[in-house]
Amino acid sequence: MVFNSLTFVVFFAIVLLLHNLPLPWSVKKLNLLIASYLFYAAWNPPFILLLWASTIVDWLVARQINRQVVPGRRKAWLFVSLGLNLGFLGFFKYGNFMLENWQTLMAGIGVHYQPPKWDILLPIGISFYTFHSMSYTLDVYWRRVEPIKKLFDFALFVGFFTQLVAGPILRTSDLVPQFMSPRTATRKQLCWGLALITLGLFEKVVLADGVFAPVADTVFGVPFPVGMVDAYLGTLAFSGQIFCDFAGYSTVAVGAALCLGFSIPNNFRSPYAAIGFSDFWRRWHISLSTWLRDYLYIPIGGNRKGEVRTYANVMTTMLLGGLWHGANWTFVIWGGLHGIYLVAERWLKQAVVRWALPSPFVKVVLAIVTFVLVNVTWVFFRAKTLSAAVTMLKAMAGLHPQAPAILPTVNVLETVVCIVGLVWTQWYMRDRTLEDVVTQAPPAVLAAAWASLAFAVIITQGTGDAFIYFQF
Amino acid sequence: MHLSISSSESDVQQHPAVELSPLPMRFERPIPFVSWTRMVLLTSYILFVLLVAWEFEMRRMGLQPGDLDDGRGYWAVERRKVDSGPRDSVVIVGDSRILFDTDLAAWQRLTGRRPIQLALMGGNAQPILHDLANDEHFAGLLVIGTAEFSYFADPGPPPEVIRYKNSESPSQRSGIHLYRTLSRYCAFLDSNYTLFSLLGHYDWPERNGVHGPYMGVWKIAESYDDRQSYLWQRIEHDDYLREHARRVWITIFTGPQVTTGSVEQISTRTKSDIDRIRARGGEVVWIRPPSSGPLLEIERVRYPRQKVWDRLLQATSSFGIFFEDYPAMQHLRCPDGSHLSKSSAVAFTEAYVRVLREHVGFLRDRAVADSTRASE
Repeated sequence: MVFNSLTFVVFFAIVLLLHNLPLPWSVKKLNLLIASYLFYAAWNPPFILLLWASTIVDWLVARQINRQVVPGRRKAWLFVSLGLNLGFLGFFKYGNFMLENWQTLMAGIGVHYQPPKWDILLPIGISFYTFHSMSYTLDVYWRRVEPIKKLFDFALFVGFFTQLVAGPILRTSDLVPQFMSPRTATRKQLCWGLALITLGLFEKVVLADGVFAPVADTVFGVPFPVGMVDAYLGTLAFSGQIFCDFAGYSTVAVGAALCLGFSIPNNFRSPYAAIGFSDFWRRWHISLSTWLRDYLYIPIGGNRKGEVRTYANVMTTMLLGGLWHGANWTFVIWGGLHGIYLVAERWLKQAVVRWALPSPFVKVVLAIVTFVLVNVTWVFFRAKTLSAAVTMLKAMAGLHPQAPAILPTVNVLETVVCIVGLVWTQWYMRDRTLEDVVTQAPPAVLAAAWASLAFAVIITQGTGDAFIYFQF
Repeated sequence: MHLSISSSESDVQQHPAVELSPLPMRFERPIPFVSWTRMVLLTSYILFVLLVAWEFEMRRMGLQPGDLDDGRGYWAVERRKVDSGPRDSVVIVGDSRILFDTDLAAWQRLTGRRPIQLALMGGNAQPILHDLANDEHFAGLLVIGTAEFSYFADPGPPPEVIRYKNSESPSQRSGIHLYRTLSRYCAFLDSNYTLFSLLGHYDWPERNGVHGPYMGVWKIAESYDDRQSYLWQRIEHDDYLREHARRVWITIFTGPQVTTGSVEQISTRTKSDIDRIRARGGEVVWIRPPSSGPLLEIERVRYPRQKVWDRLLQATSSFGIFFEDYPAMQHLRCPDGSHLSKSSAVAFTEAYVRVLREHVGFLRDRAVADSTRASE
């Protein structure tokens, strides 16, 4: 089920109603668990079995890890959990990719093997709930958390519908303590939650699907090179689409959880106002970047083993982070470029310039440079193939001067206005929180803005298309 | 990522035994300090006023509650009827002409059977025919409505509706029902009159070679239950929209004459699918609905009847109705040159169903069987 659908409106109204009935807390949690499984099964019922398998195995394995005292046995149980989770991920997400690359490799050494095509359907959100679940067993292994006593609580943590299919990627410490005592939203929480849902839907339905997606789809969808203006507009449009799509989802997730009385942290913080790439990654998909930091980068050494090893660790983390987004070399290059940016930035900070407190003008210049370079990476993220990405970059460099214009004026105007508006808004919000801005705004302006966002969502009549991050 | 500058990692370095950053602390989301009751009431009031104003404006523009819109979800509902209904169902495939020009109630009145409407606006019937040929359950009467322009075009990949029907999720299915229910009361729920569609109705200046949405197909249909669709009544009465539609059709339909090779190739492929349906006891007939004015002239040049229509019927050994052959099907109102008005659609349906009843054994036999069953 997607948030931007009439089915979700009805579903959420029923869940809210049930959650606010005078029922025992255990019954309310059971309602939430059943609702979460219905939410997931409403997309493709059989894949709920994978979610159950991952949940049950990780809960049992975590108990075994905690019970064992012999390090080897603890490690063996950990491998059971990692094997299962990464096995599911590997088969469903990377099966075809690995097969194709194996085939290419074999062809390279003269062995021509034509395997049958696997028709594998990617279970929605598998990358997200796998990471939820894996973080738990790893935390138990590292003795950072105690095993959760009840399977029921762990199942609700993994399956909680608000963040089940596209994050934020939560840790048990984010959510499980909140399950321990009765929680329903206060009137203020409910209202603010609804406001956040409206804002998230506006980002998704109006900006991502209404404004940016048609432009990005057109520019990246044509089988011939486009002109320089169209190439830039298409790339900027995708940059707006990917942000509004994913940040929109995260905002709805945060708002929906808050309506039920649960607090989920933000997943984005004005990333297009970032000054530098480490700043960008503190603002973009925060739950993934902290997950990779805590469960990959630091365990493989982080910055504790010398400068060269640090660079290697950054690159490894970013390449795998890229691959997490999809089974295609374009994603690996996307991650690799971000790795190079981070390494270069670290080197520049240490070797060339004193980074501390640049002037406002320099900050703006650095923010623009960061935004432009991030956009270069989005070309690889959006293009279906490496050659398509290269063609697009050549178009952006003006190497296809004869290429035809393809974008209608109305799309050009919409893209320019909305991208400028988006970047300006993020710059304004760079060091502010939404809560502070709302507190300081005049009530009439706020009400008009809230009503206008809701009105725009309704009259845009979204197509109910899935969020981009569902496929990751 | 927070890879090189993490304060939490610095903490870790001071505790080498724990090589990990601390877990996030539990936190409560801050709530903005505003008067929420007043805020919600004011927001609801503004939203209500905006929606009522928008609904009035949309109705002023000719949209009506009860016009259910059309889309892949509704198509999937009808397609499933083929599988759940009797094997000898009557199914209509084709493009917008047979979709708008067929009155399902008239069909039912004259034959006792309500056809399943699977025609698609701007659609090519070839892949739908192929889909039904592959469906072993279907052994009924297939009515293929053709504008030669769409049937003799490259069908491309399988149409979205077939992929959607095969992968429709339970939530999408329930969403269709909810949308249909709301559409009965809200005129503004129309995919052709969304915020961004309306922006495309302005004639913006375009760069050389760019075709903007102004010269695209705007709303031309009104749709009801069972995908009963008619030409949108506003096209009949609004000179500007009618002229726009005519200009768009002429732009789209203009092109070179179809090649003999293409006709032969498509006819051969079509015959193969038809043969499979006939082998199961089904039947296939063809309808060429009316067009008029400059558009008809273009069609006569691009798709000469002998070379295309006659050859198709011959190659597939089929019975077909070309509107120009029957007096009752001529002089009907074709406001945009390509589709009949609602009243003419009823007259056209009655006319072509009477001809089918007379010439197609499949219908005659079923009519006898149906009346026998009824009398028993």
